[in-house]
Amino acid sequence: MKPKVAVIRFPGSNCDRDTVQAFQSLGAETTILAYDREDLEDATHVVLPGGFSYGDYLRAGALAAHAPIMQALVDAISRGAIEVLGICNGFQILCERGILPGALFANVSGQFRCSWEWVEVLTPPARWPGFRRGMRFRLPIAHADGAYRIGHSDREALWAQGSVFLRYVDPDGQETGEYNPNGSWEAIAGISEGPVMGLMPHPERAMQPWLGSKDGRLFLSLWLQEVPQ
Amino acid sequence: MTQFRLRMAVTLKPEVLDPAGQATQQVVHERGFPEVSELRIGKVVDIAMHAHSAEDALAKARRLGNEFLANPVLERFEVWVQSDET
Repeated sequence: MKPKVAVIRFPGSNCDRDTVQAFQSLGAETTILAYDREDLEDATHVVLPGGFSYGDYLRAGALAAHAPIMQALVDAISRGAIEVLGICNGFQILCERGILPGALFANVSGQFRCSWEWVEVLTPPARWPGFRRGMRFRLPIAHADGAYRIGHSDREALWAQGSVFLRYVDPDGQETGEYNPNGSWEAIAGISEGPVMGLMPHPERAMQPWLGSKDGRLFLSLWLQEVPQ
Repeated sequence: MTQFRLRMAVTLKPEVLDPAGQATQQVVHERGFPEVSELRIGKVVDIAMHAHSAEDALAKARRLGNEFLANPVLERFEVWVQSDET
């Protein structure tokens, strides 16, 4: 089945059009869906894009997590009818809704971090076998609240379920303080559970060599389960 | 039904690092208050609601705190009744 990608636009999303363009450049039919809809049309793949939904009021992603369209998303996930990707603010929204475990908290530096980072696949997601252990991507981050946190009692389950998908590493694949740009626990950059994946870096901003990297093309292609071009 | 005014204090768990509090504490020191040994920042939420009793209002507010206003991974909250208006 050909993928039909829907990018959800919340009030304050600002990476929605970049994300649409990124998927269109991979040949995927892609549309934008408004946050106040109560259905997902006929989407097979849903992306929650980056930005500052609802001005990050209360907590980043907390208000968007309860927007009308989110119930349709939760229902579609429980029916096994959809694949979901949350990028940056989208990852925060998925955690705030409880669709992914844990929470994203203020960077330990206290600073908004805007930089190019290396991330490495730590646990290949069962749903996306194209992501192989040790595969590395150079992707940009741009966030103030990217430190991944999870309660002590849930940590074992996170490893046991194979949910620890991506972590920040240096160019040699080593995890160091310098390459943990936000103070995430275990340098986690992304989580995946079942048909849902969330990450802080922006693959849609790394689609061309002249942007600094084209690793986002491979990343998004693997998420679509299409053969990379 | 009576209208109750409640106040909820949402604070970070003690083990959670508070970058905003740390940055503020730094400036507090620079402004001549070196004796301040801890400064952590939370949120205050003022809520007015109609309920049959103060217990009823508190129970609803606690649900709201648990389910939405506080993130249990990072935060805890306290809520109390400020006043009632009949």
